[in-house]
Amino acid sequence: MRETIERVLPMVRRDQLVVQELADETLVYDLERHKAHCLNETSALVWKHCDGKTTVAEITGLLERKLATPIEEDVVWLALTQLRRFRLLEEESVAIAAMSVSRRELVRKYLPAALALPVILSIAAPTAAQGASGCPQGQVRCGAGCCPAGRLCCAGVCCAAGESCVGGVCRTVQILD
Amino acid sequence: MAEVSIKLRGSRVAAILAGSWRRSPTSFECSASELKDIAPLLINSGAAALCWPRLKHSNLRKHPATAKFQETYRLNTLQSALHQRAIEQTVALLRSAQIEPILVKGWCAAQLYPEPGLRPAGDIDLCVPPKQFASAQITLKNFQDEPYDVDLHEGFAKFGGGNFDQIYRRSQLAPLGETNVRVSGAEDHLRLLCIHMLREGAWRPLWLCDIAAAVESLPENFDWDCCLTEDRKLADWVICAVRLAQQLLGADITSTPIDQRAKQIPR
Repeated sequence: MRETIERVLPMVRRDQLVVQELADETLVYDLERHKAHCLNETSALVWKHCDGKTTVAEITGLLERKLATPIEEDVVWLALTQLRRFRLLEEESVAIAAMSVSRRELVRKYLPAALALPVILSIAAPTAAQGASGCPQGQVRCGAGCCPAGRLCCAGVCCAAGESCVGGVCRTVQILD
Repeated sequence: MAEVSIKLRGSRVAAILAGSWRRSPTSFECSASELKDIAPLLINSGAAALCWPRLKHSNLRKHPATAKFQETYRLNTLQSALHQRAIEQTVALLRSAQIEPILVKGWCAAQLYPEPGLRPAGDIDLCVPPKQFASAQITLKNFQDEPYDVDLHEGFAKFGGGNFDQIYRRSQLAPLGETNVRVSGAEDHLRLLCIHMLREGAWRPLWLCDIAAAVESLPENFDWDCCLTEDRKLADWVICAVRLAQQLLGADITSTPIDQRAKQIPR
């Protein structure tokens, strides 16, 4: 078993993922499953080093240097377990080595080092309509509803045809040039 | 009593959004109940992510009410990447039909913010030459693989008009992913943002932030005469919108002629 684990070369999934890096976390959108994930710094570091050539022991060493704190392989295994669960790794690259790691034990173990253990959060998937008006084509958002084309929205109320919005009230006014 | 409450709420929304479009906005301090009171307004109108940089170092950074702001920021960040792909594909499709659209509003406005996650990406607003509008409609309709939310506009009629060819001549190519997209010149862009906001009843405070961000990032050679056009009514609309951004959100308009021109507007 030990020999098998040593041969594990985790590989990041590349297809159908949109990745955005922020200052201290990495966001991933899975185009296949329409799911969005947020990887904390530790998870993201592990994930980035999963190139199909680097062993778990080597990733551990890289992580240790980057985070400047003593780390054992269990942290990397915890990250891999989560990355696998969220389908962010090529399945075959880690399928043979499902290591059981207890997060609770690791919290106790790494508490003195103040290490942020790997965490992946699922976040609500973005939808195209979120920023849009959400109104049918040609209509405009007005308060909680929509106004037909050509009608003004005045303080959340649709004005009648030909009316203008004056001081937050719909009025018929003549604009003098 | 209710009116006072609305005004108070409005002033709180303005206070948290003031300067939010800048690179290093100051931290915003308020009580948890005040934040909870205005949170739905900010979230539902697409301005929540703009507040995140002001909240993440504030006294409320760990408060549950703040979490939604961060989540919106994260979602916007991902959405902007997806939106970019959608724009690339839509523009490529129109170009394959010999139509060169001008991208306006959303993505263009977002470029003026320091981070893509601050502004929500919505539909794709594309202006096409009026004589190619019908063929652009057909081209997009036939594109069934990924039906993106495209708002196709016949010229610039909806945004105060203007000669398409002239606006096209002032337009420029902006890099977007693997390609370039055509965007309106800074003068047309600012005018369009102002007119669009007022025509839509200014219900989204985000639009005022867009105007503030645009005014504070004008190029040195910005041509105010071109922006304000010869149409006095439209020019007044632009002046009013920019003045609103200054008065409500603290937009810096010192290097603009807006103050001077505003004095000529009847009150």
